[in-house]
Amino acid sequence: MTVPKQQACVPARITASGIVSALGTGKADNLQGLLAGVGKTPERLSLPHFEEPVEVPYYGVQGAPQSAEARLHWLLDQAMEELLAEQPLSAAQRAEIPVFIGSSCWGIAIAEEAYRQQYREHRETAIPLPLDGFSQISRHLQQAWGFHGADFALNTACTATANAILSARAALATGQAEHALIVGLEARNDTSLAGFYGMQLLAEGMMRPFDRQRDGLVLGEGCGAILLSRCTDQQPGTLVWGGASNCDTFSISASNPDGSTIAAVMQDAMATCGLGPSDIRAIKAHGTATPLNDDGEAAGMKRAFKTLPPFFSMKAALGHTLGSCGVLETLLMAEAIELGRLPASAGFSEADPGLGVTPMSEPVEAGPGNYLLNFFGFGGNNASLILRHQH
Amino acid sequence: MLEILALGDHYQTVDPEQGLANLKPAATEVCRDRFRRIDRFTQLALIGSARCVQSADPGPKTGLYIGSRFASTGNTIAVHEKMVSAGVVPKPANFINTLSNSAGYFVARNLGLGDRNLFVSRGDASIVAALQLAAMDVASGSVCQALVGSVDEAVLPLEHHRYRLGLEPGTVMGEGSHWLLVAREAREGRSLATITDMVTLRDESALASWLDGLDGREQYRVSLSPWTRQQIASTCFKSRQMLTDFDPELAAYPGHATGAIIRYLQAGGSEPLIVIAADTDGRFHSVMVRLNRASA
Repeated sequence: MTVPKQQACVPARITASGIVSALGTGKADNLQGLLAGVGKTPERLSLPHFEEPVEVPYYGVQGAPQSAEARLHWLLDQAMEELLAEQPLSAAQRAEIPVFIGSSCWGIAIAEEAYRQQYREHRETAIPLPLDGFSQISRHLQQAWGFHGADFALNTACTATANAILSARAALATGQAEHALIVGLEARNDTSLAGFYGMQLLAEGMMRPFDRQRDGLVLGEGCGAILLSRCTDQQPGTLVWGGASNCDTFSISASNPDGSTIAAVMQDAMATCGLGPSDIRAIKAHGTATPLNDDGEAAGMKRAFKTLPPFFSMKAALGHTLGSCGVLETLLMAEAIELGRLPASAGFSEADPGLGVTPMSEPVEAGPGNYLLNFFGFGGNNASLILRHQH
Repeated sequence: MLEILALGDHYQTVDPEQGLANLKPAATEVCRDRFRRIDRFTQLALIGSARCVQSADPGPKTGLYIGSRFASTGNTIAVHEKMVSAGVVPKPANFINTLSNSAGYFVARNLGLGDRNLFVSRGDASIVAALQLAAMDVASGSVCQALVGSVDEAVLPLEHHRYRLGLEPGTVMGEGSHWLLVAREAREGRSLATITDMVTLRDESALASWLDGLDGREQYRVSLSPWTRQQIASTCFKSRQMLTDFDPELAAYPGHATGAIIRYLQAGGSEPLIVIAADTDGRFHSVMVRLNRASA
């Protein structure tokens, strides 16, 4: 891989995409669910393997197999089938296309399941973490779908696929590839569910991002896949125009609540695209409904925008899909823009005077212009992307 | 291409009798703050990265890229052991450390970095993935330079860890945190070495074709990790006279390739070095490094 010097601004278009989530299988069902504009009531999951009773809210995917490996493959297959139906790639193309993968779970559920079984059968010889979880998604993409190119298993918590999109765009911008595949996948696993439960970050019921009654997040699962392709800056449609990511060392579990680093990443994203705050038509917020996230994000938006554009969160519809939310939410945002309508902020009903910002309570029209998407994660990782819609 | 401006690392073999060496003194020595509740993976990352930049201020617009096969292995294993054997919910600090990028957070905090901060995995070729990401970001102007490391910790018992890594019983095990500060151009005319190639090859046939494309008039040194040696046919190298083996005298661990690059540069090898790492899916990932003798 020889990386030539950057060429002039090289936007990227979403040539094809596929999705499966708690809202359904396929873009049409997901978009319909999202635009319905109401927060979805999560199911309640009881985790049976813990000493204390652990019951958590969850946005699971209906119809997914129960075994961990089959579930991961099935989720991946749903998204890839839709993507490849839209843009069939030749075997030669698949063999060369670089693959940028983001996830928080990887193969952890498969490792949990294997270790539990070994432990039940031969406690003394059971091996914890008996497999390389990071390779599981790439391996299935190679074996089932023929994608043998350079793969990048990125894990930066909830910004993993936002960073994957930025890296894929860099691969296109530097002329290294004509196309890049981006995959985000989150599958049900005990480590994440129990981990968030232990951190007391889960909501009692449904998620209410930016709402006065917000009390935490609800995890969700799903898979999204995007084929990103080089194009000219005159290409009509919805394009990935640019973005930025940074590292906030204020705290490992939250961005600086004064909003300074969140404002900085939004400003960097706009600056790399030659845009100013007044050029942004709407914002898809990260919006996890945890006090720390929503406080910091509201503060950041107020710092970055003198007049705040309409903004909303998708997570009360999809659940927080952790490392995959960058792909799932970006592709749904692009679909909604193409349709000309952005959804109301799911789960929101009552403004919080403490935040000083109010998300969209009604759908708004989407037209030509620039849209900003926020993603923040543990480890101080912040990312903002810019989508541009043009005729 | 990437220019290597600085390098530094921490490496040790694991003595099966003595267990894992205590890293706390070395970590304390390089940390600007007193970090609490950091795991062994983070300690390794802090030590190696600080040694790399001790004589070269990373400065603004420096991206951070960590490659590792398993990330925080010991911590994740402890979480799973408690979950499965005792049904214990993970403690917040242990849970956060399973997320792979916590080490990057502490390295950024220790070195004052605030830009791109990525964790990437690709088996024993994780350093190749990290360098490829860094090269793209440097070329696209997202960052001016990149601090790129491969960090892999050993965990006990070693027979379990050999199983995890697909290594033969009795293989001598190591662990390491190897770091390179890289940029698009030499700094004030100085560069230790140039990374000229970072390639992913679908199978051994593609590897052979790539090797056939090398300049046959040159001599090259080649380093393979113990795992890669298990995966590759000996004929691939024996028939090519311009390739001679370089043994960095390192034990087996996923970061072997990066350790080999650093050992070779420190030894002042004159020929280009090719490191090749196999993955678990039959592919090969290779990096070629040429020493810049004039400025080294």
